[in-house]
Amino acid sequence: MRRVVLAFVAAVAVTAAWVAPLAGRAQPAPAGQIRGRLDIRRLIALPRPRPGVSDLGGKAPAGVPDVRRGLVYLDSAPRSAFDDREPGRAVMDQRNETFVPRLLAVQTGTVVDFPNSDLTYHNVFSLSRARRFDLGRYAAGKSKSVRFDRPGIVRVFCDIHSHMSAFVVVFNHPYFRVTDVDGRYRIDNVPPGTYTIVGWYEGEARVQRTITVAPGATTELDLVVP
Amino acid sequence: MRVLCALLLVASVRPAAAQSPDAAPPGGGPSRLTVGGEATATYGSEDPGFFNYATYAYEPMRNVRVVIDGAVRASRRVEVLAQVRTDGTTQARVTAFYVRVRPWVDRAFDLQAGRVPTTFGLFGRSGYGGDNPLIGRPLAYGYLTSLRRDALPAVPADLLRMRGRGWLSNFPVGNLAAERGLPIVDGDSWDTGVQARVVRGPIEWVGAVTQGSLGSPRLHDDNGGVGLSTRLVVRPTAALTFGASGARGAYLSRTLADDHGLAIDANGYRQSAAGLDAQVAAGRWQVRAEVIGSTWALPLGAGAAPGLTVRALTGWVESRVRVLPGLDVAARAEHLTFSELGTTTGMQPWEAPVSRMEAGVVLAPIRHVRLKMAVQRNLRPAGGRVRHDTLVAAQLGVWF
Repeated sequence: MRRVVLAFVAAVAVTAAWVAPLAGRAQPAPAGQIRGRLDIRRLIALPRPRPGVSDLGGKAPAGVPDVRRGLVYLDSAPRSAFDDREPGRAVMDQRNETFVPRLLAVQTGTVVDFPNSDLTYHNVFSLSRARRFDLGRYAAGKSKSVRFDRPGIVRVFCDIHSHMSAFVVVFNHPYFRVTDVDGRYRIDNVPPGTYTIVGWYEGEARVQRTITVAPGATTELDLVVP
Repeated sequence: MRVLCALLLVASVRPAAAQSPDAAPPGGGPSRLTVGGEATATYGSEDPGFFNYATYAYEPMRNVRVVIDGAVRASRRVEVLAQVRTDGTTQARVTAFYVRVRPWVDRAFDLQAGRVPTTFGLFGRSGYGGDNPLIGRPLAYGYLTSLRRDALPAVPADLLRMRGRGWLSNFPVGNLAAERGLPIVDGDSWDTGVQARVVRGPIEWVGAVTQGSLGSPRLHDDNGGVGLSTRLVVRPTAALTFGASGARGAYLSRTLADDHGLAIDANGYRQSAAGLDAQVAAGRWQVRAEVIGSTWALPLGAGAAPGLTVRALTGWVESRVRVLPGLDVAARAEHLTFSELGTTTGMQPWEAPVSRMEAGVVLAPIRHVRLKMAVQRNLRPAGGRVRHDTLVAAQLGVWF
């Protein structure tokens, strides 16, 4: 009987020693959310197709790139943002001599497909430091891919159609969002803390604010790009 | 005055009009103005053999060229296009000025009238420097033969005496002053007239009626004749293009009769040319090739003696490969040969055949800047003051 009591006491002691540190550890605070609107007051003018003076006839009109969308992101990200994750996949189509979408934001490691949905050749390339590449010429129905491993802004062009251009913005954290056509954005799962939030539009960070995210709360913030 | 008007038109246009998604789609709104352009500075070896000269206005291997293109879309059907160009310190020239009309918006049928792009061939319309991966142009589009529009040989031996002297040719009949000769195709100037284009599926056809001829495009008629030219293009796949071109036009000037009293009907002597070309482009490779044959009918002396028909045949093949993003390597090989004339020493070509090999690299450190470096080897063993020459040149270009 004495042995049984001793064994019981020992088991309770071991269990208590194992459980005690867990009981003392703080539960992670619930993540918050940031949402609002990036108000772009003046849309950027884009280069139109160069005059086809040396052409023997007119061309079918090219598409109109969607310049209404901006990008909102956290300039500095919490440590948890850099945890290992599965590389994603995204698509930037070439349609009616236009990149669709014109602005793509991805995390490092993402593979972006560039299908050609036109009847003519395209030749996607970039001379940006963050990712230099040239996919060569490929015809309708074909697609080629590029993996983006370094954070930065990658300007994408077509070597054949000088008016085609787009952005791939690569982040090493997940706290970013491309706005919808009305400029609205929502960044989820943001750990509580104080951050610098940036409104980006057509190649430049145009507005930034400091924002504090409370545990489990939604923080509203509207940004204005003059 | 025309130059001034064109410059004012171009200067008044912004590089790109504001474009919002709410705006009417391109082609839908009136009065859309667009401008593009390019400035290139070329510096290279002297060219004492005049292998690259097309005109005395500038040295192609030592030149600063500014090209401004402008287009005004008056409606969905009508567009006015112009190009103004300066070479070196010469005055600005209006090298293109025409109206483009698309009678049916949803059909690929266009009419162009004015100083229109060259219908013939693969290379005559090269608008921007990016179309040409090298610095030199193919011989067919600029190399000057000894034939003149305002001067004539008295006997076949006069032609032989001028072999390799197209850059400064002179003959004993007509204008006795030494002047430049005629190229097969004048790649420097466009002709004036009316042009029609139809595209149906993989087939494109273009036809034009113009004032001048292939080697002598004219702003104003100078011989009472017209130039006819046509081009048929077939694109069986996006990677492959075949083209066939033809042209015929009177090339002699009526000054032979008016100023020099010769009994010559300038409209009766024509340049006729035919060409075949092909382009293949896939991945990082582009290859294109063209063969052009041309004949000129010309009178001898005052026109009383039976005339001559002289011929030229040229072919070129060019390859371009992108080895790295922003770095292309290109090469072109070509040969220009001429028909033979009977002389006291046997049959001899009426002009000196020329062979050329050019190779170069194109570097684009940033998107709107292009740096070309090329080496060109020319051989002309049968004529000219300089029989062979190796030229090296670099060209910096900025486009917008």
